[in-house]
Amino acid sequence: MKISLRWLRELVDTDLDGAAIAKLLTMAGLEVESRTVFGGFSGVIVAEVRGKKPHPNSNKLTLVDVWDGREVTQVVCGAPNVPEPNGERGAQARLVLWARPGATLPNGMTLAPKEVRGVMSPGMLCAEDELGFGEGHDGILIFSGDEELRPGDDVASKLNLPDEILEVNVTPNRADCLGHVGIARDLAALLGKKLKVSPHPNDTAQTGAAKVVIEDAEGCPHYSAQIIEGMQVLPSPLMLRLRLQSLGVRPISNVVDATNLAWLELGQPVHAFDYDKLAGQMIVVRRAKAGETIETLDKQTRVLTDEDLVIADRDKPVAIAGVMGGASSEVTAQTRRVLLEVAYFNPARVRRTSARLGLHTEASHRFERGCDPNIVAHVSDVTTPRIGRPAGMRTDVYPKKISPRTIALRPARTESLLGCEIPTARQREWLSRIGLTVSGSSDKLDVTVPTYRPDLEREIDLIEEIARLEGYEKIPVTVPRLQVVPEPMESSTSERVRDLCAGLGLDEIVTYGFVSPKQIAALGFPNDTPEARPIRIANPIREEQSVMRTTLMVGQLLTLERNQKRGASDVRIFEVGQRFLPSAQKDAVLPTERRMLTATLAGRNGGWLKPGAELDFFDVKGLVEELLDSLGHSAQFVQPQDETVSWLHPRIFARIEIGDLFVGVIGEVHSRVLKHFEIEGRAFAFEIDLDSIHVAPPAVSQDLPRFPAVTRDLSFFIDAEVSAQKIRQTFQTIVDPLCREVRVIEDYREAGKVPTGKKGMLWSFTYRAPDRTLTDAEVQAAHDKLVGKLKETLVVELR
Amino acid sequence: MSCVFCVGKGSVNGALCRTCKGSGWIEIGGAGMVDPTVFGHVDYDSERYTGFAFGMGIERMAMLRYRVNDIKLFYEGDVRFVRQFR
Repeated sequence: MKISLRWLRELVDTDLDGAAIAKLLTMAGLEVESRTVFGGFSGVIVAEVRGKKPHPNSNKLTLVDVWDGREVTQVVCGAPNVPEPNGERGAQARLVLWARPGATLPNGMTLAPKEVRGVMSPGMLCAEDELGFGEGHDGILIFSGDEELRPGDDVASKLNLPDEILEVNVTPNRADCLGHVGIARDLAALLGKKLKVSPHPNDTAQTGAAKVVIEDAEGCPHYSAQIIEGMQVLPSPLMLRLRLQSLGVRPISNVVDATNLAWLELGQPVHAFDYDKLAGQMIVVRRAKAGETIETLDKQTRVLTDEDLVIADRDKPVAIAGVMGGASSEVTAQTRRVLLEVAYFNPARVRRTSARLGLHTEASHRFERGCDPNIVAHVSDVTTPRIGRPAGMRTDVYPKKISPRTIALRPARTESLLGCEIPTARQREWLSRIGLTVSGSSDKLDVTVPTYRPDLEREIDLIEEIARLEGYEKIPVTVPRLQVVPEPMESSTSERVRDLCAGLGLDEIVTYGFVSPKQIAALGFPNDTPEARPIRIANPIREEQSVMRTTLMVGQLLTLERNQKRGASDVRIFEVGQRFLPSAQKDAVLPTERRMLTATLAGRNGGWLKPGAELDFFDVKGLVEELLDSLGHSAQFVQPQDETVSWLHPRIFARIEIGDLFVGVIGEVHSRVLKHFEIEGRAFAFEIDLDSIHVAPPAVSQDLPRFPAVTRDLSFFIDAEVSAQKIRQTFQTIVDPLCREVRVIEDYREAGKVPTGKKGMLWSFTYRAPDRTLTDAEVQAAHDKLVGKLKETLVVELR
Repeated sequence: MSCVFCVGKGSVNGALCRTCKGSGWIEIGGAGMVDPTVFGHVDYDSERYTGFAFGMGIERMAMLRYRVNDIKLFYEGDVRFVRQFR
């Protein structure tokens, strides 16, 4: 809500500057988000147009004779709307704003006499944007003489400019602060000053002035209709127009401007109907009929339901209650009789209709938060004279008066809850200052809450008011005694994995759990897999973040692409996070969540042994081995013949297994997927389900070997297609129990050294017995047996 | 708390401080007494128990700790940023 500091000062006597007031309000829960200057100019005066003629050297320029109360001066003007001088004086005079030489404008410019196409111009006539009043630059600002402004008047001093506008972030509970008086009430309370509000006019209600029927009293507890006759629809005086503009409201006419002033001042929306356009000259407040339509002021046709509350005349709806008026009864320049509506509508009903229609207005904003049902007559009677006619023809229908509520407050409870001493007298004082009536004894106060504070319902709400006004910053600080709860085990597995990955040279990233369904689809999961059917969230902000990730790969690939686009091509990233799969059980309420470790590597190998070498599958596989080894597991990499992973290269991939347990996949990312994500070059990735592995218990110490070991090597050629993994598995099944370790030493494939289609391998076998030194013969026998069995199992050519 | 980037001044070298949007203050979390109605829903007697609840945004804490001036950096995974915190 925009609040004018000048207006605030009219309501509360204070010498404090804008910054100090902003701070006071912010600390009391009315956060001032920004402060801006309105009308920061000097040297601009009111001038009357006395004559005009075309510029001799230009079709677009006009020479205007302006009178400043003493003499006539000729000014060059480029605006298309210079008014015809009408010879009138006083109220009918055509007035403009003249920035004379020496004037300073809000953009910082200081005017000097200037030659325009050969004619000297002493300053210029101003458009509204040039004075910072609004956006308008279609022409100069024109107004009629009113009681406030006469030719020669200095505009800034006469209108008390510049003003300062505070943007106050009013929380949804503070409906009372959606008008200047509400904010001023809090400011006055904080300063211990009196709120200067206009006196309540006498109750002028006359039944019979207009016919009002409330058929739905639940939706509309209070309705008043004031008839204003014999009026003329005109522009408002400049001062009022500027006040509205300074608060972001476009001036329209004296009638509409007065209704806007009501919510700006008191937070009470007011609507004006052209009384002569109401069929039967009557108002019926009722539920809409299902399917009934109305054209609203914004020229849209709205279809209503029987949940909606409407204001109707004898025949049809003429407004959607509390939301927007109808076009058919809009006030126009021809309007002579106005029916001024001031009412209190049920907040929940307004909220539902406004939400259903997607129509949020200044009126609905206030009604749905809760206006004051007992301010209705007052607003009607102060708004009517502002339209230029005395009040006195008001019909008031208020079948069941809404009375202020009384709440019990135990001052001791305030102190115990806030943890500091606030004497009862002081508590009473704060509550009285914001308009509450306090009676009762010091162990239990009876607090009567005026109807403009619907948010104060319980004792705790009153305690909050006291705390807020006393100042949260004044509550003393004490350190609470807390019990520390140890971290749960599962988070420590993730922690461990994160540390290990970082230790292995990977960079940790965090990406969003909400992803685009298109990106999931790009990974090509088969339709019958849960990965292909991500869970859609109920209220996505945008389509790109509308489903929950079934794999962390989307975030990985987006991050890789982003890094490549920004010129960082050597990327080694990992993320630990949840993936969300639709549950396999039909009646399951919640999806299946799995904690995953996912990593992606692209670009060059980081090592200095092979500088500049591209990463390959073995580098990545080595990382996974190292990682799982550190967790106490020995990983196996299995390449199934009949199986692929949709987002990995069909041959350069493997299942990662621990024992018989499938824990993840590793491989080169499929080129089709890379292309979709606009990634250059090759990329490798692995994905491990952390929920399926556990951290192995600590190793149990074994006695150191007391007898020496003997090593035998074995060198052979073998079909290049046979993986080292396969050969190792073969060795593990055939070696003698005396063999303690099998290691691969070399893998060489240079042409000329190796027969075509073969690779050369050198393996090393370590033999040792726990209870004796092995003899050469024993070792040789075991090794020969191994070689024999190897030849039976695999096709090898020994060297 | 007072904005750490513009030291509460609202501007850095004459330009509007983009971390606090010129206000000089940054919000690092929320805190308050637990509403008695909330206790009611979980069958705690609000006459016997009171609660103080508070929470801080983890990114906000990291921004203060490492003087990061844009919260988006935490979710972009730009390795030139991530590698600064090894």
